[in-house]
Amino acid sequence: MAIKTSVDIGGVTIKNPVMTASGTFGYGEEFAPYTDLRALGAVVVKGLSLKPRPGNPTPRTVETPSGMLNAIGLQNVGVEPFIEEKLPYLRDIGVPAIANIFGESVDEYRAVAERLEGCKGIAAIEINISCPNVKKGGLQFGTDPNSARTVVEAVKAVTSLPVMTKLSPNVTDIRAMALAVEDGGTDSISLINTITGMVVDIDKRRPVLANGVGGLSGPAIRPVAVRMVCEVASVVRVPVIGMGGIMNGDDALQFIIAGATAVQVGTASFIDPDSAAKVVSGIESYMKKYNIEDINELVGSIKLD
Amino acid sequence: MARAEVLYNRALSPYHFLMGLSYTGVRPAPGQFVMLRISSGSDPLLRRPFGVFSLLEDERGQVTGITILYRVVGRGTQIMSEFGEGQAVDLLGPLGNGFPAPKEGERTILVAGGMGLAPLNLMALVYPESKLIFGARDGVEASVIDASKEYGLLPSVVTEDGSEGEKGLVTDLLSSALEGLDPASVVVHSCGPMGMLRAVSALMLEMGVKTYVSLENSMACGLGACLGCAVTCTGNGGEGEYRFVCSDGPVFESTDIDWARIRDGH
Repeated sequence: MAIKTSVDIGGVTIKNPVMTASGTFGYGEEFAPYTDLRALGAVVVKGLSLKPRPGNPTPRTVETPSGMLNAIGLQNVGVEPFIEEKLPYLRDIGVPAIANIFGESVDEYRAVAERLEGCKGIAAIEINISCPNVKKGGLQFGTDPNSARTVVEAVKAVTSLPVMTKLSPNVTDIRAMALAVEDGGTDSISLINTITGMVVDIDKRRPVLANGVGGLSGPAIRPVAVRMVCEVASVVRVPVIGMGGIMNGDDALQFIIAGATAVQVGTASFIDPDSAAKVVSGIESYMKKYNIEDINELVGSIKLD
Repeated sequence: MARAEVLYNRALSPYHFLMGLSYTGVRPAPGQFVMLRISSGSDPLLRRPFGVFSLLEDERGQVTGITILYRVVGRGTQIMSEFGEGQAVDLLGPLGNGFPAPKEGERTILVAGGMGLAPLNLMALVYPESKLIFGARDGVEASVIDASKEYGLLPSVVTEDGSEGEKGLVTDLLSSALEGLDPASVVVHSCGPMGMLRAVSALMLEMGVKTYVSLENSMACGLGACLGCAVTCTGNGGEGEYRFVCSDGPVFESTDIDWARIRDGH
């Protein structure tokens, strides 16, 4: 049986619904010795700002039960070196790159998007309005619907690329945020970013992370993420991309059945750099097992009665 | 990634262990490390980094395994300490840059503190003309040096409480070892607690001896992706920059490290 795994994630079609999550897969090339990058639907690269950012002091990560906290602080090479030095690799091997962008102001988001305009090899832009680990920008846009809409509108005005907006779970009503960015013109919505958390060193009586708080990721957050994807998918028309603790194909299918058109694999890549490719084959096995010809039949097929 | 099997898991003290693992991949260089997955489930979730202590070889010199030295400090290493022969683990590596190979005519001095012995033991085995200096806080920590002695290495040993070898610090032994030597002909490789590395680096800078340090840091991936294992370095035109223990190191020239911005104790 021929199975169809390609999905339209809002103006761009990818060959299967599995991407890597921003900040967990470098710029792709780092993982080439360990996995077949061509097996992936797309690679979402580490968040890009207009200028390079040095990131936070260490410790930056700490393990938690079935998860980890990170407070990297969006360390990145900056958009210009990305285009010059990092993007050609993914372009040359034919893997769609999705550029995750970040700014401390609406102007910076706009400027990064403008710089990416016309760059070959970029399939879409993912707007990060949800990083909990930086003082300015990031989360402030991610927790206020009006600010979020403004950022999306600003980026949409300067780019011809499809725009995906990544939501923070650190809000009371994720549906309000989703509706706001949809209203702002986003072509798709990805969620969830990490959940803000803290681990305390009881000997030193201080937080383990130098930043104090960090973002929780990994299997520990999966049920929260699936619930939020289900909520968002039920109120928006644009495709939803689900993520949060996906370790294998079965985990990914929870998101797809709950309403996600595609998924992103994040923390799992730290443990097994071949995780995302394994998620692809896990989804295909499930489709064969249940005689599902087109992955789109599964999207949002959850029975909630 | 490779599936490895525990060949042996030997206690050197109640807290220190030497584990032999089957491994047939690329020959690890001294200073390189591996990432071990302790659980096939999600808790503990992340791999743990370990320096390669020694290589196991068949009669033709092919690598058939590696050994790692570890201390029980948390849940992951506690679980490891209970592994028996035949236990399957997932091994990623070898990773990192390793120590630069000694040049001809160069005198190599290896300065190890506590668990920092691991990568320097392999260095001493691969370059037997090196001098190995080992320091520990106490007799319990000093028990790991027995594993080196079993390989026929003849380390100079010092402990802070005098319970094993001489009483003092590695810097005392290092100073004596350097007496009468031309500083320009010596290269020091060091691994151990940050405070020790700081002291060794400062002393060697003063004496004009080129020094490399192998750093430890918590890391999620070992592949340069998570950006967790950042270390403050000089460079970037004096502005300073973060480099990464896993992908830029773990071995750095000591003058590349911005010691003033590093907090000891982690």
